Amino acid sequence: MEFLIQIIINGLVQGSMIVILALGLSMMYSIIRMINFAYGELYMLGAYFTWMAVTYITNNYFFGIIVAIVGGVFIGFLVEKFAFRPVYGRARLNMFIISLGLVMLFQEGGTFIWTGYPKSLRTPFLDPRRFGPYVITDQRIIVVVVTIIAVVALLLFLNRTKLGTAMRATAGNRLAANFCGINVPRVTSYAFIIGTVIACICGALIGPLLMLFPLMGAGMNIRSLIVIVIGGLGSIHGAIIAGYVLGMAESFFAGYLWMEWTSVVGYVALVATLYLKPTGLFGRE
Amino acid sequence: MRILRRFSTYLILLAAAILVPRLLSGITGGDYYLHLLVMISFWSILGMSLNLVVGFTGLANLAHAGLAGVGAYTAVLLFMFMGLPYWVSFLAAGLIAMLVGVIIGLPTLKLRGVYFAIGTLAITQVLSLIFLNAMPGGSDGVPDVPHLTLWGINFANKVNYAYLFLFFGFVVFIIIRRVVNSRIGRALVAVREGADLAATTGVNIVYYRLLGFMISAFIAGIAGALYAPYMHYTCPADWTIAQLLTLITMLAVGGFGTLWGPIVGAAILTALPEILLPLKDFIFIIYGLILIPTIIFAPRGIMGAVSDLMRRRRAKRVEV
Amino acid sequence: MATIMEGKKVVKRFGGLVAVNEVDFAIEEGEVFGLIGPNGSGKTTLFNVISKVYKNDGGQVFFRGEDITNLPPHDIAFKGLGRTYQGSKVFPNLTLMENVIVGRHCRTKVNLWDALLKTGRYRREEKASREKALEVLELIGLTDRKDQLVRDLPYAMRSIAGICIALATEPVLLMLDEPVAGLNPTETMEAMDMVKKIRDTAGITIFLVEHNMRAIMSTCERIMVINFGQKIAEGTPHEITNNPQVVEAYLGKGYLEYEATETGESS
Repeated sequence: MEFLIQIIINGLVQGSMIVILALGLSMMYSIIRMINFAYGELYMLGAYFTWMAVTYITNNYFFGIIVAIVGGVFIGFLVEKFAFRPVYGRARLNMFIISLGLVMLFQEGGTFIWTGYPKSLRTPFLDPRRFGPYVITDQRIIVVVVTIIAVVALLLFLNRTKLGTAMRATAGNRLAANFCGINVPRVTSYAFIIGTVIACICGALIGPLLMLFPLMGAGMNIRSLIVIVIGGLGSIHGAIIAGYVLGMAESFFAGYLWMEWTSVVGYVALVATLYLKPTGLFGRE
Repeated sequence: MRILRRFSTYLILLAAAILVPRLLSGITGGDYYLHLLVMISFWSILGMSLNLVVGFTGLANLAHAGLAGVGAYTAVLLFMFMGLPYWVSFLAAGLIAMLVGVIIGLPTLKLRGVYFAIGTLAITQVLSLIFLNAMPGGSDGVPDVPHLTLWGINFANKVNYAYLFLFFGFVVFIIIRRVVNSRIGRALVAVREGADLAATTGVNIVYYRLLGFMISAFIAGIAGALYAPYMHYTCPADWTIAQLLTLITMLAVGGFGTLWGPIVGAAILTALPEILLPLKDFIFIIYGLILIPTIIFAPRGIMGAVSDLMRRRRAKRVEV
Repeated sequence: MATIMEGKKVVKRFGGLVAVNEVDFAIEEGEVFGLIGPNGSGKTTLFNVISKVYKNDGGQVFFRGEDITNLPPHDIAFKGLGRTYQGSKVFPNLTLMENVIVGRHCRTKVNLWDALLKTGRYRREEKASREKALEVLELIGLTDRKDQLVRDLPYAMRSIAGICIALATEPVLLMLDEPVAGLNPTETMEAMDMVKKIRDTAGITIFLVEHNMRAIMSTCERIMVINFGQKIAEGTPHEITNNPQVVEAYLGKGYLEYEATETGESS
């Protein structure tokens, strides 16, 4: 019984990690209408930015997170402006291939700058805390809490603020949004930056739980993609639900079945979704 | 006279293909250049087959490297562990890869672009998992894959391998060219340019996408089956997204949807890390820096630009 | 004249909305038949159901006596049913010639082995396809543009190119989806003259759906009017324009009342 509850707790944490990353990807997808395959690499960069700040400047984790956010703004702006914007008008395959180019650039660039040897990112929250027979580290609790805050904040932002509404409009119909007076290029840039910053914050928060290595983005990226497809492209609610379901499923699978094959859960779910209901649970397309 | 002119390019290439390996084997350090030749042929074969699906049919297929891996592991299992003659393993590798292609293709080919990409990405990851956990050797791979002995020829030296790869490169090129210049190739391109419109002319969209995918998978399997014995081993890391990204870069530089593009791209991108030797370990940075501007500024690639130029000249002649 | 296409109680639903509600129609061989209706009337939906782009939710469609209700969209070309898509849909990155040759797909049989081995069938069909494509281009008068990329052609010509592709399939009935949408009045008249020419020289039955009243009225011999998914009128252009229900569908009840009061006053 205790094992079960530990599994559930792990599932909650796992789910939160997947959900918060998938939210950023979902936002980015809605606005540029193309899956950014390099999204996992932005997460990786966030983790490394934090590590660099903590290692070379000051050993303050919160400062590291700020650096990650600033770095995210910077990178997001550059990538959107110089890599994706030049090809908005063309067939979507162009953007897709460019994102593949970014994957190569960031992964290998990361290896070049920080070497392939795993690094650890120490934070003051990594000591395990005991609640009776259950173990959880503060860092994980933070991840869950931040996810919930992020979900609420994102939904509020998109539905209650002017910029958020402009983003939803642009996501729906760029041309019409243009006619309504929305500065589409700028809104697109902001959405992209927000997505990047979310990825970087994820890196800063989740990085300490795992080791940092240049390819760390790949696994998270695939999970985000799977979750977005299962939840339905363009649906934030779908991504949230699918994310927690996947997190829970992976936790159960790892706990009760074979741990090495855990990722299969996601792939099976993905294939099942593509086969049975390709538009996903709440897909709008 | 015209026939001679049409074949002259091929005759020259054929002559070069026969002479160059011989010459290289004679000079010191020739083995290195022979290796490059083999690698260029290998990547050309993979590139030409991937081009059929990505360039000509317009599908974002990310599973190609994994399918080549299926071919490699099949050949190794049959040839090394079950003692079957090499040519049987070789054919089986192609067929099994094609079978896996069909299994992947049937559910995914009905999907739209981005879903197809994600689906094939997942397939690559699953295949990697299978190679890691269910195949001999695990993450270290299968060592000491024996060299081929085909028809009494022992392939323990690079020259023979060079001839073998060049030969298959040539065969694959002819196959792709004949498919592309036929009703089938036109159907594939029509599906790329406008699937619904293609259907009104009788093109069964799913059938043709699947057909292209199967041909491509078969060739990929064969390529993998050639690679394992040449490299003397194979491992899961040989058949990941990294290889696929290299292929995409080669196709982008050479030109999607052209016949010679994959070969040009393979040649350039294989030679590049050798020329930029100090950067060889970080060659993917260069690939990324090449791929992005190429897509932005020269999406048709080298051979695409060449063919555009030639067509514009032909059209102008008619107008005048 | 024989009936070449017949629809019996054709139904199409989208979720709860009934877009096409038990429509009956019959098209005679060799005529130019038009389908019109106000925006949202379901005429495009009906058109798509007939050409098998959408699946029927009820009713049947017969073509040349054969029940084509459950045919997949790519099979209609083999039966002799060709169609175009509105908005000058063509294969943009191919030349005009290449575009038209694609149309030969349903009239050729070359398979993978023929292609790989360059069999006699391959060589024969390649030659025949090129010749037939040139024939189509000559009939339409676009031979001099055959090597141009279709995306570089002017809009009106692209629309015509779409018709060429459909003609290459050797259709017995040609369905045209808003062929003059986006064309100026001169181009419209040229296009409609060409449509008539196609019917006159090749004997192909024409079935077109259109918004442009002048084009429809000047070219079609019989017209069917749809509104809210139901057929409200069918007849010659003259009968249609004088049909009060049709006028009401397009101009609203208020117009009829206005007309009545006007004529009342003047007499």
